[in-house]
Amino acid sequence: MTDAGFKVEEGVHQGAVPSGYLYTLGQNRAMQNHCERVEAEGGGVTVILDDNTTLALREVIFTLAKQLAEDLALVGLELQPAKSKAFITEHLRKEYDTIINLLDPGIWSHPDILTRQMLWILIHVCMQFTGDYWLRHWSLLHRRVCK
Amino acid sequence: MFSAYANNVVQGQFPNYFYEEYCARRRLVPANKVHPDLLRPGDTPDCRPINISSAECQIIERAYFDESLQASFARIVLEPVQNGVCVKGCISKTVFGIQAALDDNPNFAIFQGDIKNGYNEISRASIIEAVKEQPELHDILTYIYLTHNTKSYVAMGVAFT
Repeated sequence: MTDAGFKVEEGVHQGAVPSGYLYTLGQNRAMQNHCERVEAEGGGVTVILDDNTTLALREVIFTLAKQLAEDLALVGLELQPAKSKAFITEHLRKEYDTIINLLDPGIWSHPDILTRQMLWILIHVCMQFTGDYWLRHWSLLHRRVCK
Repeated sequence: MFSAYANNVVQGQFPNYFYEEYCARRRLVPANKVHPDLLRPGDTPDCRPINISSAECQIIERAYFDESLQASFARIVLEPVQNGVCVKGCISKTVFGIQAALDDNPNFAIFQGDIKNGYNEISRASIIEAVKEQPELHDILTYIYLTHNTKSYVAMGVAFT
C-alpha cells in the first residue's frame, strides 16, 4: 500500500455554506479594479458570482474586458472570450446588419477580390492606356535594381 | 456539548489531521442541467459535480456564517460591484439596472464575461490573502485557513483478499 498527501491549491468546496462568500472575496480585487477602470470611462459593472456584466462605450469596452482578463488571471481565473458575449442597442444593430449583408460571401465570393483582382484591373488599365510605360522606364528601373 | 465542540472546530483547536478528515467527509452528487428524461438517445448528460459537505459541517458553517458576518461581507465585498451573495433580488436589480442604463446611453455596449470553471479554479491562496487583508474578517481566518489549506489523502495498493 502506498499513500501520499497532496495539497489542493484551487477551488472552493462546491455546495458548502461559505463557498459563495469566499469565491466573491477571492475575485474581489480583480472586480474592484475593473470597476474603477470602467467608471473612469463613464460606465458601470455588476457581478453575480462568476457572471460579470460591463456597460461602457463601444470604443473602450473590449480593451476593458482584456484588462479584466489579466486581473482575473492573477487569482487563477480565466475569462473565456469564446463564451463571453457583447450586446448593442437595437438601432445600432440594424446598421451592423446592413454591413453584414454588404459583406455577404454569397456576393463577394473570393477573399482576394479586393487585392489580387483589383490590382490586376489597375495594371490592365495602366497597360491599356500607357502601353509603352514599362518600355520607356525599364532601363531606369533596371539600373536602380542592379545598384 | 455540540456547541462547545463546534466552537473548538472553528477556532482551530484540533490537530491538522482532524481538518483533513473534516474536509473529506463529503458526498459527491451530480447536478444535471437537463433532466435525464428530456435527453435524446445518444446525448451525453451535462452534469456538474457538487460536493455536499456533511450535516455536521453544514450546521457548524450555517451558524458560523451568521447575519453579522454576512453584513461584513456585504460591506467589504459586495458594494458597489458584486451582487451575488447577501443581496436580495440581485438578478432583478442587475437585469433592470442594465436595461435602464442602456436605454439612457444608446452608445454603450454590454460585455457579458464568462469565467471558465470559476468555483473549481480560483486560487485558494488568493482567498486566504483576501481574508487577511480585511480586519473585519480576521475571526474566520483560522477556520478558512484550516479548511482551505489542508492536505488531502490518497492511497493506492492491492486490495485485501
